[in-house]
Parts: sequence; structure tokens; C-alpha cells
Amino acid sequence: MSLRFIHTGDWHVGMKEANAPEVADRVRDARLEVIDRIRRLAQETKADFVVVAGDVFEHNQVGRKLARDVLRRLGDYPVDVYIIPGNHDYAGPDSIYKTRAFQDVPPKVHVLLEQKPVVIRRLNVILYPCPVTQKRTALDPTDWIPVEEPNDMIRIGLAHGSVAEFGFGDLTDNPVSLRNVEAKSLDYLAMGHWHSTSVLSPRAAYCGAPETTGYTEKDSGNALLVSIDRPGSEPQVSVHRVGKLKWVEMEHELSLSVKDSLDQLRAKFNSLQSDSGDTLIRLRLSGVSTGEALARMEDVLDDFRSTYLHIEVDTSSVVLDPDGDKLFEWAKDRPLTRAVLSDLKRLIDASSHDEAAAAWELAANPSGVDLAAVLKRAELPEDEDGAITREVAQAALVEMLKALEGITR
Amino acid sequence: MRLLSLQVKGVSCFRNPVKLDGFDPHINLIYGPNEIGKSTLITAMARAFFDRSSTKAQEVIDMRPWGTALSPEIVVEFVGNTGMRAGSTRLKLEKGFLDTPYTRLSEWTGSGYELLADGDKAEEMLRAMWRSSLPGRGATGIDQWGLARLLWFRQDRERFDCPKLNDRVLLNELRQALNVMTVTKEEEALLRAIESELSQILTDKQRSFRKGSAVAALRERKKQLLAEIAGCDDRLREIQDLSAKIIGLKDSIEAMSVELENKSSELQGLQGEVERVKELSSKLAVARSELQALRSQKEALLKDREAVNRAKVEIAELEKRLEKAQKDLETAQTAAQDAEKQVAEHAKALQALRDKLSKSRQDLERCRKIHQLRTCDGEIRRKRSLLEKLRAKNSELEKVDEQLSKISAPSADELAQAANLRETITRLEAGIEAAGLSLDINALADVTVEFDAGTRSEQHYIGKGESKVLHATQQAVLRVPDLLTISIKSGSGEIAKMQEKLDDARAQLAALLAKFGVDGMVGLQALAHRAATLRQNRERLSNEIDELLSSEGMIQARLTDLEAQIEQLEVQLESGLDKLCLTAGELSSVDPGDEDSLCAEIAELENLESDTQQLLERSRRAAADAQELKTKLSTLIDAGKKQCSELQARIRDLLERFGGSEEQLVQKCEAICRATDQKEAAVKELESSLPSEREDPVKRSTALKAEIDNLIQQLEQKKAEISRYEGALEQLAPDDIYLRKSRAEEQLELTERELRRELIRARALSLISELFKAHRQAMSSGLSTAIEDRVTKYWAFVRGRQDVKARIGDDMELAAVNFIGDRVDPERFSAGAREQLYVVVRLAVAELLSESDPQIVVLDDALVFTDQHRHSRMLDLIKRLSEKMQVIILTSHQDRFESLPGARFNVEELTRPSAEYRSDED
Repeated sequence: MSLRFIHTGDWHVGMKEANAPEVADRVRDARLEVIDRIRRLAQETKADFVVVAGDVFEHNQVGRKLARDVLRRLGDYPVDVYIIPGNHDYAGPDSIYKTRAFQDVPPKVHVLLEQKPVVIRRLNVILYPCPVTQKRTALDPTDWIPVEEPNDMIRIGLAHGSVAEFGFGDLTDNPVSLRNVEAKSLDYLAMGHWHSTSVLSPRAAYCGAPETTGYTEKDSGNALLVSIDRPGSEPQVSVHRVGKLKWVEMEHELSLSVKDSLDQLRAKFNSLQSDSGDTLIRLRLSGVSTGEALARMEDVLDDFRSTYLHIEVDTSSVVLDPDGDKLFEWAKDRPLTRAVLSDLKRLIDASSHDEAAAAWELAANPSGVDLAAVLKRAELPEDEDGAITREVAQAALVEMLKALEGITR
Repeated sequence: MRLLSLQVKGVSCFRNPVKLDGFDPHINLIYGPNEIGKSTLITAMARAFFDRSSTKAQEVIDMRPWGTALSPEIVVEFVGNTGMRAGSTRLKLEKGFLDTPYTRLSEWTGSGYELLADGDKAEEMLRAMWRSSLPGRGATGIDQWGLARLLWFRQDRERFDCPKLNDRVLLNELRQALNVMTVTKEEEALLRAIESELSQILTDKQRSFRKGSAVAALRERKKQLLAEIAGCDDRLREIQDLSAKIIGLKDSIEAMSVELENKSSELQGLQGEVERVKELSSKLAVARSELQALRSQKEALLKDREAVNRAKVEIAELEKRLEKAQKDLETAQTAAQDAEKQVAEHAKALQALRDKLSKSRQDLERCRKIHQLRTCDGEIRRKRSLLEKLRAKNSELEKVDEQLSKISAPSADELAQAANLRETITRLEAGIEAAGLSLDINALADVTVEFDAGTRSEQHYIGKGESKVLHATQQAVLRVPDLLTISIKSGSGEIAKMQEKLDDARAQLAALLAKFGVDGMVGLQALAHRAATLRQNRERLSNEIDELLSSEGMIQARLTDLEAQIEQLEVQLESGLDKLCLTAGELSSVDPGDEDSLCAEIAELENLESDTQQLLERSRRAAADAQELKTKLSTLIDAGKKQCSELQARIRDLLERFGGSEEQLVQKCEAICRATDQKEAAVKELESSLPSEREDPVKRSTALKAEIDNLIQQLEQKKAEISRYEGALEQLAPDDIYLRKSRAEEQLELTERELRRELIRARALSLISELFKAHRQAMSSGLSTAIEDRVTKYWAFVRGRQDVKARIGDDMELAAVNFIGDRVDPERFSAGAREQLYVVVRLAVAELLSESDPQIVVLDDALVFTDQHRHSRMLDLIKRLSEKMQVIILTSHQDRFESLPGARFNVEELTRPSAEYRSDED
């Protein structure tokens, strides 16, 4: 019977959620829940044991509560779990693994803090753990593995770091040389550190993070199932999805036809194939629009917000055109407002060119008003970076629309 | 608009209908005395245009003529634009108040008036024309009168108030007239909404974000979060530090343990060597102490020997010195004797010189005395001759005094008195003559007259055609023989008085002259002159006497003083002669001797005396010195002898211990030296067999023991430290610092995003506000420039000089600015200047508005403080400007406005029973 084990790692429990701070706690919870799904995978695939290749915790000071939570979930595992510290939860004097919470681990949980082989006689396996003791080091954590006469034990290395040959990370990032796989006669090297699943060589792989951590991660949310028939045979590695969260990036160009733009957007949303409650969406808008259209679009998005976990809208590339707005109509026979709108429009246009052209445009003012002086006066006190930019001019159009709506009601 | 006619009835003093018809399209003058009702007419017209006919306001009720039940009724014919057709038309407004309220507006059709509107509708049309408005309650005030607010100047109400230009109605009208942009109500509303939003974010002065604003709150939150994050970072750093310390300590402990092991094994190896060295050391110690004892003995003996030798040497030296001293003493004695001899010689010489000197001095004394007496004698003689002269003058003086006493002359006063009396007499005589009678006779034929003037009687011949004047005082008789006799008497009492005075004066004068025994003034004067001459002589003599005395140095002295002086000198001379044993006769013949050669001799002797004195001193000193030297040498010799005997005694003492023998001492010394040398050699040998300082195993052993103890102690310390730090880490471990920091950072991200949005919004609102302000400003300035230019020009015209400009500020407030650019407040101008300025402003604005529609300007008593010159210029200006508008001037001084053309209305005439009145021109 061949040996089967789950290779996972980079759980990053307690990680800060910089990409979606609004739903940070939900995302953190997802990272804890995936531990249960890995357990289910182990059960379903009838794995013999589980190895966790480092960075279980995001930081040594994530606290006792999280430590206990993780241990509790690990306690439910039907098989042994072997854990090494990574560069985030490295085994220094302040290591989370040295705190009181870890003085009392469930019997199946093994935290390997020393460079000592672990023999699993029952399975004919020698495990060579390479724990990370320093956040940064130029030493190869796998160098200590003793070179022995080949015997009839399956030799599995468990390490956390960058791959020296591939140029991932830098020279002080716990560089592991893949040459050691052959030099130390390892049947498989279970690596952790990189968040995307990646098979490095027939006998070495990054398992990747089990729960995706951002919009730009390519292939994460997996755990690996590794089977080795006998000592010396090539391992078979299969990828299993365990992650729940989906991070989606969407782009949409607005046109001057408000109705069309909104309908298209709605269609895009509907076409997302996912369990919407676990999906985070970053929507990038571009194109030319009116203030009214932007306001209406907020309403459309609000409809979808309750469905998806999180929607982030980036409107920095949208250019407003006041001519398409109610404002323009209203200002037709109101020369004062017309003059103001025309100046706002000039400001919006000016900031899309380079500095010199913008300055020239501002100076050549037909209305008799010194725009540059007005901009200076409009700057607010206590507002250090408060230059008047295109964004501000666009916001001004929106505010005027709002005020207009207020008085025409 | 243009006024055509105005009729009032039942308004204040106008009980019966009064109509002003035929208003000139340009200039109209309504004049009359004070309180005749000129202003009332204008007010009535205003009420007609602007107030509701239904109003029961007090101001309208007060229009009812006193003591009547009449209701005010007003009819105004004017040209205006109702808006119902293009252009202006002739209109009639009929208005009634109080009991019979009505409003009727009619239009001229060419043959008559046709009703256009009545009641509220008519009033609305009027308000549209005037842009006026209604108050909440009561009568309209000037603020509601639309265009008329600025253009109708009412006496005393606003004389010194600057015309308000920031009236919205007015500004809109002006803008329209000048084709300038206006601001609509909705834009105002929009702006207000924006400003309201902005004011919730920023404080009033726009200096900072309001405490309650979103921005302020977000910034606060951000600060809090940053603080929390910083706190977490501090804690994390603490943990890091502790970890680093623990690792450091562990490394250190490892190194120290290795060192400890090495040192312990070294210590073991050293033990045997240590024993051997200890034994050698103790032997050496014993030898050293023996050597020490020998050395002390040797030292003592050598010392004794030395002392004996030294004493011997000293004695030899002393004896040599004593010999020398004896020789010196003998020499000194000889020298003393010689010195004494010298002293005696010098003393003798000095005495001889002194005798000689005394004699020469005596001779000199005598010589001087003789000279002195001779001088005295000469003096006596001189003074005597002077005394003679003085005595002669003195007796002359006495003669003059005698003559003076005999004359009795008049004093100056008496002379003056006489002269006065003479003058008085002459004057009175003339006066009497003048006051007296004078007969002016013109003869028509030859005639001889006899004239009797009382005091005199005369006969006069007067030829035909000749005339003669005859005088008399009180009375006169004129007789023409064979014809008539005229007797004339003066009634003048004056003459009698004068005559009395005259008699009195004559008597006085006569008395005065008699006093001095003269006949007349001439005699009196001669007498006075003589007395004066005598006095002069006296004066002269007296002065001469004084002069002579003062030339002797005797000021204010008398002859007796001079006599006394002479006497004194004679006494002196006598006593002097006595002392010298000379007689007066011998004085001049005796030989006194040569003073100069005597002096020279004395001087020479004195020099010699002093030289000799010095020599004597010196020789005395030399004698004393020699004596001293003798004494010193004796003492020295005695002392030396004593010292020798002492030294010898000492040698005897020292040698006693050795049986008095010096030889024995020497032997003992040699023996001890030998013994000491032997011992020294033994000690050296022992020393060389011991190991050196460096290789001493005992030392090394001790040192190692100490080091080992030290290491053990340090290890203990470090171990304790590690457990302390580990304990501290344990303390910090449970805290979920990282999790808290992560949450805070996530919150911070959200807060910053929101803050950015709020800031952009605030900036946007600020931008809108500033843009609107800037564009409005641009709008207004076009307008204000137009007004400024005109006001400056017209005002300069009226004042006759151009040293100030008008300036309209942002709020449309009026200021004056001089050409340097300094602002001048119109409040500071004089009453007249302000008056003129404010009228000019009204005219300028009216001119601008009249571009589109001619305006009506009312000036009610507007130029009371203005001087004549400027007044006339103001009239020139009005004449010119009135080409474009209609000006109505109310005044009580019609003469001031005579030069103006146009229609004139005399209100006084109007209030006379004949009600209807047409203008002067009819």
C-alpha cells in the first residue's frame, strides 16, 4: 500500500486584511474554517498523516485565543499532524509554539522545533523537519539533513523558505537549494512559503496557501495529496481545492448613455459564476460619464452589495462631463452658473494634460477671472496636501448636482 | 418715465384741489416759503404710486387735512411702460385713500383716457413699473419704493447719509441697463445651499475644520488608531528586544562554559610545583633577616669614625682664621687716629670765615639806611609847596561864596513861574479881545468914526468901499458925528471872568518881580544869570582843589589830612637820623659806601662758609667708621677662641667608648665589614634558585581559582537573567498584540479612505464657493467702475478740482480715494461737500439708468449748505444731465435757481383760493 499524506502550509492565521478591511474579520474566519476542510480532505482521501510546511500563524503574537482555536481544530484530525515553524511564526524565544497555549497540545499534533529526524516506524517514514529559527538567514535550512546509506525508509523533507535556484525571494530568505533533494536522498521535499501552488520538480512542491489572500494571487486555495509507492519511487502529487473565498477583479467602461452603461454592468454581475456570499469583487470603472450616472450606479451596486461578500469600486479613472448633466441644462440661461461650470470643466480637462499645458490653459482665461488665484483661495487651511485636482473638480460637479436637486425638489 | 401733471386734494394743507400742470420733461422747480407743502406734494405722489389704496396706516391717516372729513385724492399724469405694449405711453393714475379707497390706471388713446386696470391689478402694474414692493403692514417706507429709493432725495431724511447702492432692485436695474450679468434667485438658493454645507464643515472665518465636522472626527480617529498601532509596535518591539536578549545570553553562557572547563584542568596540573617553591621561600626569609642585623651594626661604627675626623678638620680651620683677624685689628687702630686730626683742622677754619661775614653785613645795613632818609627829606619838601597852593585856592573859594550869599536870585521854579504868568497874561488878553466885541464896519461913503471902547477912545477914518474891524471888550460906543451914536454892550459873562483872571495874573507877576527888586522879566533873568555865573566859579575852584589832592593819592581828603601826613614824615626823619648818629646837615654829605660791592663780598663769603661746613662733616664720619671697625674685629676674635675649645671636648667624648683610642675604633670597623659581605653572598645564592615572578605556579594557581569562581558566578547571573526575561515574555505572550494591531491597521485604512473622501468633498465645496464669488466679483466690478467714473467726473466738475476719485467697494459702499491711493471716508467731508457728493451720486446713477428708460429725480432742498460758486456749477451739471432725465427741484430759495430753464410752480399761489394754477411760462 502506498503512502499517502496531505501536504499543506501557509495558513497565515490572524493575517491582516489590507485589501478588504471592511470584511477583515470574515476573511480571518475563513482562514480558520479552511483548517476543517483540510481535515475533511484528509478523511476523504484516507491520508496517513498531514504535514504543515510552516507559517501556520501570521505572527508570533497573534494571541492565545487564536492559538487555542487552531489547536482545537487540529485536535479533531483523525491522523497525526506534523508542523514546522515558518518565517512568520519562527521558533525564536518569543515563538508562539513556546507559549503556554502550546504546552498542552492534542496527542496527534506534533510541533517540530528541532533539527532532529522523526521516525514513523509504522509507516516506514523518516521525516526531516527544517524549522525556521530566524526570520532571515542566508543558511540553507535543509543542510543539516544527514546523508545516510539508502535504506528502506521513505525520506520526506519538510522545509520553509525560498528556492535558491529559482530566484524567488532574496538570498537572506531562508534559501533552500533543490540540489539537496538529491544530495540528501529525499523522496519528497514538502515546501512552504510561496502562496500559489507550484510544483518545483518531480520531488519538490509548494503547496500554496489553502485560502486565497488577495486579488492578485494566481493559483491558491489548494492542498496537495502526495502518494509514494515505496522508497525511491517518484511521488504523485494531486491538487485539491479547499479554499472558499473568491477574489475577482472586474473592469467596466462607462459610456454617456446612462441606461446602457448600467444595464451592461448589471449583466456583468449576473454572469459571475460563484457562490456570491464568498466572493470579493474589485470593480474598476473607466470612461466618460455624468455625475448623475455615477449616482445611479451607486444604487445599482447597492443592490448587489448584499449578495456578495464585498464590492470595492475604483472610480479614479472616470472622467465627468458636465455637459451631459442636468446642470448644463439648468445653467443655459444663468450666465453666472454657466461661467462657473465652464471653469470646472477647464479644470477637469487641464489635469489630464501635462503640467505646462495645464498652467497655460489656466492662465488664458476668457471670463476675466484669475483661475489660479481662485484655486489658491479655495485651498483649505490645515489641509497639507490639499491641492485642487481634477478629482476635486469632479466632486464639485457632483456637489452642485446634489445642491441643485435639493433646491428643485 | 416722466411726470406730466400732479393734482392733490384733501392732502394736508391742500384742502381744495390743487393741480401742477405742464411739467417740463427736463427741469422743474417747485418753490415756496417754508411749510407751504412742497414736500407734501412729493410724498402724496409717492403714496399714490407705492401704497395700497386700502391702507389704514397712520402716515396715510395723517394726510387728512386737519379738522376735516376729507379723504386724500391724488391724480398723476405720467409717461410710463406698463409692459402691455412695446414702449412707453401716456398714463393717468387716480388714487383715493381712507374713506373712498380706489386705484385707477388709464391710458391715453389720443382723444381721451381709457381705463387699463383698477384696484389690485393697477397697483401691481405700478409696482412692476417702479420695481417697488409692499411692506408687511403699515405704509410703505422708502426702502420699498424701488427705483425711487435712490432717486428721490427727501429733505432732512437722508441729507448726510450716503446713498445706498447695494439695493438688489437697483443693482439689477443697473445691470440690465448696462447689459451686465445678473444673479437669479435660484442661483442664490444654490449658493446658499453650498455655503450652508460648507459652514457645517468649516468655521466662520474658514480658518479650520469645525470640531463636529466629519473631517475633524476622522482625523481624531486616525490619530487614535495611529496611537494604538504605535502602542502595539512598542509592545512588539519589547518582545523582540527580550528575544534578542535571551538569544544573546544563551550564546554567552555557552562560551563561558567552555572557558570554565579549560581553566579547571589547568589548575589540576599545577599542584606539585607549588610545594617545592614554598620550602625555598622560607629559607630565603631567614637569611635575609640575619643580613639586615649585620648591616645596622656596620653603619653605627662607621658613623662614629666619621665624626672624629670631621671635628679635627674644623679645629685647624678656625686657628687660621683667628690669625688673620688679629692683623686687621692693628691696621684699624691707626686709621682712627688720623681721622681725629682732620676734624679739628676744619672746625677752626670755619669759625674764622663766620666772623668776617658778620662785619660785612653790618656795613651794608648802614648804607641802605642813609639812602632811605634822604628820600624822606625830599618828600617833605614837595608836600609843603603843594599845601601852599591849596591854601591860596581855598581863600578864593571863600570869596565867591560870600558874593553868592549877597545875591538873592530867583530859583529855576520862580523863573518858570514868572514866564508862565507872562504867558497867561498874554493869552488872556488875546482871549478877551477875541471874546470881546468886534465891529466890522464897511463904509459906503467916506466917514470918520469915534470909537470908545471903555478903556480907550479912538477915532478912525474909513474911506468909501473900505472896511475896518474895531474891538472892544465889554462895551463900546461908536459915534458917527452928526449922524448917529451906537452904544454896544456885551452880554458875555465870559469876558468878566477872563478879566478877573487877567487881573489876578498881573498882580502875581508884579509881586514876584518886586520880591527880587526888578522891573521886568529882563531884570529877573539878568539876576538869575549872575547867580549862575558865580556858582560856576565856585564849582571850578572846588574841582581844582580836589584834583590837586587826588594827585597826591588823597581822594576826598582835606588840607588838614595833608598837614598830618607832612608831620608824620618829619617824625620819621628825625628818629632815623638819631639812630645813625647824624645830623640833618650831615645827611646829605656823608658817604654811605658802595652797596653793590658790599653785596658781592657777602655772597662770596657765604659760599666759602658752606664748602668748609661740608668738609668738616665728611671728616667726622670717617672717624666714626674707623672706630666701629675696631670694635667688630675684637668681638670676632673672642668668639673663635671659644669654639676651638668646644670641638676638642667633643673628640674626647667620642673616643671614650674605645678606651680613648682611635686605633681600636678603626679595627672594629674593618671586622664588621667583612662579616656583612659574606652574608650578602649567601642570600644571593638562595634567590637565584627560586623561579621568576612570571612562572610562579603559586601565583598562577591562585589566579586561576579566582577566575573560575568569577566564571561560575557570572554563569549563575546570566541564567537568572534568562529566566527573568523568559518570565517577562510569558507575561506578554497571551496578549493578541498582532491581532489588535492588524485590526487597527484595517480600521486605519478605512478611516483614511473616508477622510480622503470627506476632504475632497470639502475642497469641492470650497472650490464652488470661490468660483461663484470670483465670477460675481467680476460682474460687480463692471458695474461699480461705470458708477465710479461718472461720480468722479461730475464731482470734480462741481468742486472745480480733481484731487479725489470715487471708489465703490465690494459691498457697493461708496468711498473716496485720493490720488495716492489713500481711502478717505465721505463722513469726514464738510456738510456742503457731502451734500454735493450725494446729489452727484444720485444723478450719476439716474444717468446710467436713463440709458434704457428716462428716470425721474427729485431733489427736495438738497443743496442748502453749498456755497454760491459750487451751487452754480451744480446747476450747470443738472442742466446738462437733465437732457436725459426729468429733474424736479423743491426749494424755498427760488432766487438760487433762477438760472435754470424749465417749468416753475409757485406753491404759495397754489394755496390761494383760486385752485388751478398753471406754470409761470403760461
